[in-house]
Amino acid sequence: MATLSDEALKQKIEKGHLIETTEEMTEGYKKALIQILLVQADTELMSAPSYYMAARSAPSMNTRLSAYAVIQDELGHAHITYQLLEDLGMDKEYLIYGRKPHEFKNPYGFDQPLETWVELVVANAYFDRAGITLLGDPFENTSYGPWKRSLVKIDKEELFHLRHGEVWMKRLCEAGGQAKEEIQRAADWMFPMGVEWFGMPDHLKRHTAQLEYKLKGKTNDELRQIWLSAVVPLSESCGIHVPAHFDEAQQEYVLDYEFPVDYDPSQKRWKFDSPVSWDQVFERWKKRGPYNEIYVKSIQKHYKDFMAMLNGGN
Amino acid sequence: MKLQETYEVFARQWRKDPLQHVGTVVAPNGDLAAAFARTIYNEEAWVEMQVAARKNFIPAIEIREEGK
Repeated sequence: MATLSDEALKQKIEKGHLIETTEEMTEGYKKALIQILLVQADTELMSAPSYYMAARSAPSMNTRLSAYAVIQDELGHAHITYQLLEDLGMDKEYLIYGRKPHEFKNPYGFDQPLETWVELVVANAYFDRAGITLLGDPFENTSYGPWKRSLVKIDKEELFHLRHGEVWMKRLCEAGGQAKEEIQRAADWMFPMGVEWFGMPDHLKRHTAQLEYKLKGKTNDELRQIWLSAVVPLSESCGIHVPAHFDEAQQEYVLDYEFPVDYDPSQKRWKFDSPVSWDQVFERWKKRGPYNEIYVKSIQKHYKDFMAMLNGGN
Repeated sequence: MKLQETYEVFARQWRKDPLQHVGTVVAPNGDLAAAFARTIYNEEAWVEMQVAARKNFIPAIEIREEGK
């Protein structure tokens, strides 16, 4: 471990120093780094079964191939990020195959069933935009060198997922009728899910270890604004209504509902007239969404049998 | 006992470029490491890709402060 104190490390990082090895880290730095990487790795991994569920209803060979290409990318990103964790002393096999479903750190959005190909399109437009926003920040600002470099490929490929979502969203909305109605129905539950993705507002939580160690450079609200400034104009240009708008006086995007609100996962419906506290949101996240177990099991179920077979039935 | 080994992956997009580190794979042998590298790091149409076991790297200069 580092001989530097936490304060000295933070000062060094502030001057633009990149951390390369565990020897240079303090305990605090390493702990915060593992925490943020685990969220990324688990999010990339759990997007795969969720996108796969939707991809099975892709309407043509081309759309199916595009969807599977996205899934392959996501598994690659998960692999790269778990590898970073392994280099920090974690056990990749355990992280993927040994943990219980509720121990995965992916956002609540990837605990939800994606039931149609149209939902995949909107997920690519909204959720992958959240991914690019959240990973574009460390790509630009992080103090951990190996993570920064790993994001070159990831950033490039997430952009492809995003284009896939945006192009199809526009095309389906131009078609009008049932196609546009389905996009609107998906946006109705997925847009507020994206808003919540960025977590607690800054006035409730400003200073975090992740910011102090410059693992990331932007606050939750700053990132949420970046996401809104892409997703709201996209939706409006498609004629899709989302409960947010640009406020000229404040010069920023504001929500048209009290945030956060209650969510009924069985109906995929936000209860906009039932504002809740953040403690209640954390409780809902902790309880996990309806597909958390199903998705985790789909990844883990064949592993033990396969390893036994590979090792001669032992 | 660890049956898997870590391999570093290097590639270049143009003949004029030097090989560059693009990532890492874990595999039980070099053939599988090469196969995993080709499928995981397929973001470019590389003109060359090489994998090398991490354990074979010999630090000639250990990572140190910049400008020293």
